Amino acid sequence: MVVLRGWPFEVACTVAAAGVLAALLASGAQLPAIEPLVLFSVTLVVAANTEFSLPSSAEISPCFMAVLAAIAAFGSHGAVLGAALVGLGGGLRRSLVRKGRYTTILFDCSQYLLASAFAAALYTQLAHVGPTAAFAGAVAGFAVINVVLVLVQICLNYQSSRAEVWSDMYPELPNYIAFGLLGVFVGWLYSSLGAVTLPLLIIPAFITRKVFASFLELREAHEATVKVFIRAIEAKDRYTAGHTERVAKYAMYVGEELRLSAPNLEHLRYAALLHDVGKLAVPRSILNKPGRLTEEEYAIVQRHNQVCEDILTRVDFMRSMVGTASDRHAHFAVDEEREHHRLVQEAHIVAVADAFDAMTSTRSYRRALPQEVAFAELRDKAGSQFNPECVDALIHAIERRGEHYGLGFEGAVTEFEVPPPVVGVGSAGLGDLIPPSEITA
Amino acid sequence: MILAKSALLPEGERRIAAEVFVATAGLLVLLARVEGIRGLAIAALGMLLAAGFLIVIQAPIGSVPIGYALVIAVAALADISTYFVVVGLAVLATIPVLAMRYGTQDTARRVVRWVVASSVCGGAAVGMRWLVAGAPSDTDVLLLNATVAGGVFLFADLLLRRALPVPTSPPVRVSESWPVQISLLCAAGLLTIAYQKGGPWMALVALIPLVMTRFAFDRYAAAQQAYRQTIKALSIVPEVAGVTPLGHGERSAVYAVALARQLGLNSDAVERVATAARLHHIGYVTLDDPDDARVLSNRQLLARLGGDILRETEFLADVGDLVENVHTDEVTSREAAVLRIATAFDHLVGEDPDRAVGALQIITFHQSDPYGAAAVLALERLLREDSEVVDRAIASGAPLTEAASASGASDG
Repeated sequence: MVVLRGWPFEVACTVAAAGVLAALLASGAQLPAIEPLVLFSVTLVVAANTEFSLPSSAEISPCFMAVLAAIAAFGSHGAVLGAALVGLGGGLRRSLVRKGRYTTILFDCSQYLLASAFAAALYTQLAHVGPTAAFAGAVAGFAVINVVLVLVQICLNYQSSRAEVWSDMYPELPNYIAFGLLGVFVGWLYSSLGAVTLPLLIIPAFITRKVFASFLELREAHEATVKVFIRAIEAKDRYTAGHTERVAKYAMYVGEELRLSAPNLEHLRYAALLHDVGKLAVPRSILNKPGRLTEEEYAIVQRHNQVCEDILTRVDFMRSMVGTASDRHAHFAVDEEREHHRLVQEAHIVAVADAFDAMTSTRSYRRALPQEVAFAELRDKAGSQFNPECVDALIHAIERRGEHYGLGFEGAVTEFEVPPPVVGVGSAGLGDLIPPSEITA
Repeated sequence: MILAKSALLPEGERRIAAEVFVATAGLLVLLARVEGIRGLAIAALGMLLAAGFLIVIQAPIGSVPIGYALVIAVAALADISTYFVVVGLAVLATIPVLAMRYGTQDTARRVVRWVVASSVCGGAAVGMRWLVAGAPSDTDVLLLNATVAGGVFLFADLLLRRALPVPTSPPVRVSESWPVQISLLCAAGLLTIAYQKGGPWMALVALIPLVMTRFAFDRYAAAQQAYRQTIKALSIVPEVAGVTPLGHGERSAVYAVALARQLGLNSDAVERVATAARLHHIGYVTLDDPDDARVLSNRQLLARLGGDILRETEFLADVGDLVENVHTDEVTSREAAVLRIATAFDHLVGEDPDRAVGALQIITFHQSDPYGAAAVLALERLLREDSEVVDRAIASGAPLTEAASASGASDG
């Protein structure tokens, strides 16, 4: 059995929950019908053992959904006692039993009981005002009790600061609303259509969860694959360490500014992370050469640039004839124009992000430029070398965040064997790919 | 056809058209309900069903319309003549859009599939009403009717997918199709009782879980697509550097997938051999000097380096093992044999389809292990049964060669 430092708090909560339950029973609170009570209790235990993965990588247990469904289904017939009894199952989790954390199990059962009973009490009290008020009250009531108790317990058990735990928790709060809405929906369908609706809702929910889990696993695989190759790139060109990550960051700034959709942003991020993959085709001696490149060397590096361009625009555009998963490809084919526009826009964004990072980082052939100079250079070349919309978006995004890059603000300064010269802005845009003849000292 | 569609309706307008379509159908439903006009109600339902046929879930067996749930619900709820009129109207309404989206041949296959599966489903619903005692409006009876009619419909759809495959669709396997089928069946059941007890608006609400399922499958399909694009991007590095001919990875992947399917490998294995085929020269990227001729001529060393870098990510460890053994003389699994045969075949054929027969003979002569021999037999069968596979492979590598010649990158 594992006992963490917060055990007195956990025991106190358990006593409080037992007190509330005893008071409800002693006061003769109405008991709901047995069938929904059993059904929703079982649903809650299943939900407690089912963490639901969200697209944002957040994980949340759908317990709250089951509690609200129960409250909505009970209505005015014993909602408070019913919700308290259903909530009691919230802590019965296999993972905690396996770890022998029995006090935590008791605590979780208790905090769910308290939160559920409070939510149900608010729901029934506000029912005469209207369904929206009742729903809002139940969500807020459950959220407050649940968040406060869990926050204190985590702080005590793991010696974490409240701010730290809160910063982890608060992005999850909108999920209360989403799951709460779903819960009300399930409860409403249950009371309108009968118990048969539960399996009809729960089975697809499990399938959806499994597909989401596969989606997250695939995304993790993608991330891991990209990282291996970024490491390979950086192993080869150690003077541009962190470059790809920064370009991806700036590209995301632009993408967000241009209000790209979530899937398009994700695609843009991978494109930015892989924009330098062509460096793998360039000899290490050239990539790490101090000073300027010869014309011949420049031609070799230029090839790398070409590879990147091909990858970012043409290769993505090339639709697979293999069709290993679905006929999505055929569907894609009809959207050629839209796809083409998207990929061209993606290439424009990456070009601006790449140039900005090239100018604001110290390279083997020159020191980093100040941010203002880089901005001026981007503005100057907007319309000819760069897409003006992307340039404006990047500058606006950085200024809005109050961030500073470039000379004096570099995150990691590389030690060079030969100190890089301070040169003008001529290298802007193509970064290390600019022909030596065009670099103005 | 593709251009015609793009020219006719750009994306924004297409979305507006779809919204207008659905809104009109909704208004018609409302009007029909208020005024009690039967013909109008049927037309509106037909339009809604048409929209349902066009909104698809990107499932592992290909696209599956969410309208299937609606077909099943209508079969369980409506009388048989109404059912056929509604489905007929819906299919007719979708034909122009399908033709623009998928081309004539694909459209014909889909329409035949829908018409036959819907007919069987309607028949099953009539049979159930005749067989099962009790009022047809009882929830339990309705649900049973919907389950049986739905099961028959979805099974017929699966069989027809096998009999009339769409060229770009993967083979149909029950082991991979059941999650979508079960979700549709549950949605149809919910829809049926929701309509019966709460009317059309309740039925619309009951579609919410199916919409969520669709969203999950869509996200997965998009992530899979993005991952494949990354793999493609990586596979091109050695090709543009001149280590191996341009398009070799892409073409090999087409042969590997076709061969793996011939041998009946499961979808995970198919995905693995496709990835391995694309990345079998990836060891090149770890070289300090990519022009080191001594290392480049040592294919075994390059394969080992490729295996090493792929094994650095846990998710590609299996692919790494395959890549490492791509040039070994004797392979120990069907996947490894598929990879070896596919890559060797493409090396010999390249971009000239006339070399296929000669390439097959050379490869046959060089197989010394049972897995290799089985893979060669599969290749022979493949070339006989799917005469277009070589053309498809060459076409899949063509955009690369075109891009390279346009940019001059192939000079490297």
